[in-house]
Amino acid sequence: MNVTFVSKAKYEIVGFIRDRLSKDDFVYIFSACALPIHIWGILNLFIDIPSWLYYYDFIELIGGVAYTLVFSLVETLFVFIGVVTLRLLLPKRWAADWFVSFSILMVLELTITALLFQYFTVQGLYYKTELLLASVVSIGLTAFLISKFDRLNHYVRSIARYFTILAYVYIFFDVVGLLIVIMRNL
Amino acid sequence: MNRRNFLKVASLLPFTAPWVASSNPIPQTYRTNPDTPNVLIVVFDALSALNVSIYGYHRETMPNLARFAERASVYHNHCSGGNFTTPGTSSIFTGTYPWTHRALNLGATTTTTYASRNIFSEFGQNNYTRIGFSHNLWVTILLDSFQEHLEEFILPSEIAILDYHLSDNIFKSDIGLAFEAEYRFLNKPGKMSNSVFSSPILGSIKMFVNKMLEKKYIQDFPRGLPGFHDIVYTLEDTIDWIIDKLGNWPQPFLSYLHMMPPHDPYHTRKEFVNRFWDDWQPTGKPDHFFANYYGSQDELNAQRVFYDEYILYVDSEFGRLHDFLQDNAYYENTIVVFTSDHGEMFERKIWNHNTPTLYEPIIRVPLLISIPNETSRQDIYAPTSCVDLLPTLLHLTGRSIPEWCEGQVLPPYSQREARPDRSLFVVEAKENAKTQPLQKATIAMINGDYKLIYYRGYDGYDNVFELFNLRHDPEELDDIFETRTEVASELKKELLAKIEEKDKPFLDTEGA
Repeated sequence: MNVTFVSKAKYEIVGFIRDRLSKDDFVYIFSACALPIHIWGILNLFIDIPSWLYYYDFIELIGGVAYTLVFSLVETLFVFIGVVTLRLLLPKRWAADWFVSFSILMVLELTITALLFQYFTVQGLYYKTELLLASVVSIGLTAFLISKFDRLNHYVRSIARYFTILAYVYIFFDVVGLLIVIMRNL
Repeated sequence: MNRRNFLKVASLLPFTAPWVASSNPIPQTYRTNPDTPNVLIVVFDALSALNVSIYGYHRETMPNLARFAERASVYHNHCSGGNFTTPGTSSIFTGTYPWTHRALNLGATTTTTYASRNIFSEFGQNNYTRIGFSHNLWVTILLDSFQEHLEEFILPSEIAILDYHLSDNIFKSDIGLAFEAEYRFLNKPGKMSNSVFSSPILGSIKMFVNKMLEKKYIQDFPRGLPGFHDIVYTLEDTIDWIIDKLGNWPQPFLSYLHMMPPHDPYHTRKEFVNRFWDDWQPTGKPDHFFANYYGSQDELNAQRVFYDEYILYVDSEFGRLHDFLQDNAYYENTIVVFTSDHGEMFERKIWNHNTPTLYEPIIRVPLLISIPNETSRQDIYAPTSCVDLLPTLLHLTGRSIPEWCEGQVLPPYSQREARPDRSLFVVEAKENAKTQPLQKATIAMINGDYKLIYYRGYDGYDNVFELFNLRHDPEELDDIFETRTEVASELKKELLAKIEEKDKPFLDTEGA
């Protein structure tokens, strides 16, 4: 009886999720999360590596890169889970056609907001409230535009399709990084 | 007492046993043989000897250290190995200069050779229990590289009120590299970090939690809680922990305890706030090419006041440790060393120790050594270096001094007279590759009364020499490199020859 109950619950949960997000949707959303986080992480690695070369040997250097990739993967997963949770919390029919495009643009906007937030903090500028307000307004505007203009929705989706391949590349290197980190900590 | 009452009292006796046991902090079984004394090295980070009252500083910053000095050898001209934690501490650990151990860069470790040539490896016999602890993660990284020679490697998280780091909580087996990567991913001070979302989100959470903590501690620490590298702690907790541990470490032990204060931020305890707002002004000095402070000299003097008041906090807590050691007879069987890894600076428009310069406030550190049953103070004025600490401790514990050690046994413990023409070196090369010859570095050489400083490879300040006579010009105001040409040329020749000698193994590597 318990087994039946568990499988029924599992079936309902899977159905609940599938009603809202298809397999492709998951891939698009994951790519949208992975892309900015990894690009930023890798760009910074290029800045860090010359200073690491001062005192790390090759193995340690690979280890340093591996940690950065693992941290990027964890960050990607957190953002991905956040976006997916948002979709699951929304009513099934609301934004059903354009949520994925919206979430891709939303993640990009949040990335810009987060980077500007960091920049302002470093520069000692106190525009944080204004920045958050601007971010909320731009996300709202994005939702409005995407919901009204179907062509924009399709355009974003078709661009996102090209970038999904990068997500697989990132996942591959992240998993290699994870294995290296695990090995170093055994 | 009737039988009933007697039985009542007797029934309570077993419960008093733990109390009786805990009231005796040193179990008798741990009492050591005086031939194998314990070694307790207490290091306070960034403590300049020039700000310590027992060395003549006009502010009474360390009255408790003066009490300890009454039973110690006090070194008045003691130099660090470098001007920041990594090279300075590595020189204490290895008894070699930074150009030899090559822990030149922030977060670096020594070459693999010194992973098994250090103070912990040398105390690996006679059943010494070897313990290493630091609040400072750069030191934790170094201790991590010596881990195979440590019976107890204590992470900062064990003593901290708060430790936000993943590396010393999750990646305990690979703390050095994990910390470096995490530091760049989440906490790059003054720069945008490698993460997009984690840094601002965690930063905001940290800010919130810190504010809550500060509210709790504001009464005791009105300038904020002591902390660094996202680790928040109090010295009170640390000293309590040391006192507690001292009773439990099997003897003989070698314990290296490296505490962060008085490193900035200078968050002293309430009773020391505003103790030094006096009219005293330090000697005015010209701005230096490497000036890193853009405020006025008055503001820099205010930083010095904060620093001096923070030293009072260090002293107060060290005083508590000293009392414990004294009351529990540890001085009968323990060599106690008090020192620092580098100093701190508030002049020439240079603040703290983040500078390529090697002026006295940055390289002059306190050194006090108390050996078992030493009851009087001895003042030593000969120039000494932190590389001398390892051979001295080996000598005092009856061990032979390895050939690779660059220091020598300190007076008065050495049977030989110190050579008056001995040269001491301080090396700063944080922007030089570990495995390359010294191309961008500052090296100070102290020989007798003279101190030669050589700047090499800096844009706009390359191949510059400065020479001072420390006896006649302790403030290093009168550069005599151009006027005392004979001395200057002799010292320059010696220094360049030494650099060439030390660079040789790395030139070969480069050639290969």
